[in-house]
Amino acid sequence: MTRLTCAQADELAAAYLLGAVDADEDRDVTEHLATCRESHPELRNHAAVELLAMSLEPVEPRPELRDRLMATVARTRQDHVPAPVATHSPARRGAFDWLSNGWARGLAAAAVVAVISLGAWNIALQGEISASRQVARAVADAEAVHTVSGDAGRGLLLDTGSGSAFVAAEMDDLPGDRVYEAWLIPAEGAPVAVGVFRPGDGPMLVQLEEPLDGFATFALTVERERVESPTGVPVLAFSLAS
Amino acid sequence: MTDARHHDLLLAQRIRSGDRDALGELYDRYASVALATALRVVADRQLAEDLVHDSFVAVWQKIDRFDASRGNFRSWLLTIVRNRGIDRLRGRRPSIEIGVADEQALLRTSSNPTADDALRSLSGLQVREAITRLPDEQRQAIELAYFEGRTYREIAELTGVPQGTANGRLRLALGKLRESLRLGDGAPLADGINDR
Repeated sequence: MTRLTCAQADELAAAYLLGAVDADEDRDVTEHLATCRESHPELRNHAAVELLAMSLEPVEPRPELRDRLMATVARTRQDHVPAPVATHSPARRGAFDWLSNGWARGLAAAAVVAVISLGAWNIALQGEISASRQVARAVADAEAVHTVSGDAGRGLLLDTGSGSAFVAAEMDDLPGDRVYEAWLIPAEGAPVAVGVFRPGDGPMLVQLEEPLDGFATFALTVERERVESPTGVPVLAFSLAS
Repeated sequence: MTDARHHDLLLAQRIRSGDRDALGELYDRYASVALATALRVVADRQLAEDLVHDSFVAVWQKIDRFDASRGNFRSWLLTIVRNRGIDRLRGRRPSIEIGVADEQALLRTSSNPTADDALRSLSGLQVREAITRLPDEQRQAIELAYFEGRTYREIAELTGVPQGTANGRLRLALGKLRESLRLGDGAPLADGINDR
């Protein structure tokens, strides 16, 4: 039960969006929005408020500000990234954390085999072991291995020189009528569809249909079936320039 | 979906994956409008740049709270800049911890794709003209609210009108902006307020 009726909440919509309500009203409207079955489009339409910022003449920051920001970011941990632990504790680490630490590729490949042998993939069936070996072999053979993550989960993007592949390892399940579709996106131009897959129980190697060269971004969307231009928002993306 | 919005969503995903270059791209894209907003609020160049810096760091830290399919990235960033600026301007202790406030800003910046796309098609000049066309008392009300952090009760006191009238001016102003710029989901304009 919220303190406001829908009409009362709507009455405060503009003031709420503009941040012009007092703390109690702000809490009440927020609580109403979180619990009300009505859509309250007026309360959720921030566009008109953004106009006020857009109405201002842009002001270019001094160049030093960008350098300062990037230096700060380089030493700032993101909230969703676990803090490093003082002692070696493989069980508490993400499956791919070791790959993002800049280890040499050969060491990374060996680590994949080691991790798999320790059961990190939680493989129970021989078929899955076979799939994991296939993954480990592909990682070992790759010229470059990138850890990629997003809302939909995590995986590895492999650059094999003449081709590319995606290892789907910790991807969210999908409804039965949906697939992940992989895209390679040039710096300018339309995304190119390079494969579809559904996540399985273990790591899955998805061969992509184009090499990474010449593309700026790798991304995944969720689609009903393979399409030639994305209809959904990206659920995972990775800059190939990084 | 516009290319710009799609690009923002890609940037959000990349930032979430720890890609610092993506944050740099976001900065290149929005730092000038973020600084304009901060400067308009605090009227001090150094302080404004500090606010912009801190706001982008907040985006970096809290990117996992941002749902790319539902949120408007630019609105979230600008709301963080504005809220932090108002806190500095008024020298007040925030009623909630600033990090929590950054996350709660997401609730106020949920995406309305139609409106977002319409917004991105507008030029700054069009927006300025639309705001200029507002009756003076409505323009004053939304500027006091947005750039000075005044509540509608404070606006009522500052301008010598009843609280309901001050609140109504905010509604009318946003409704007229939505209507004139075709942003959709506008407030009904006929609500008994005696402004034009």
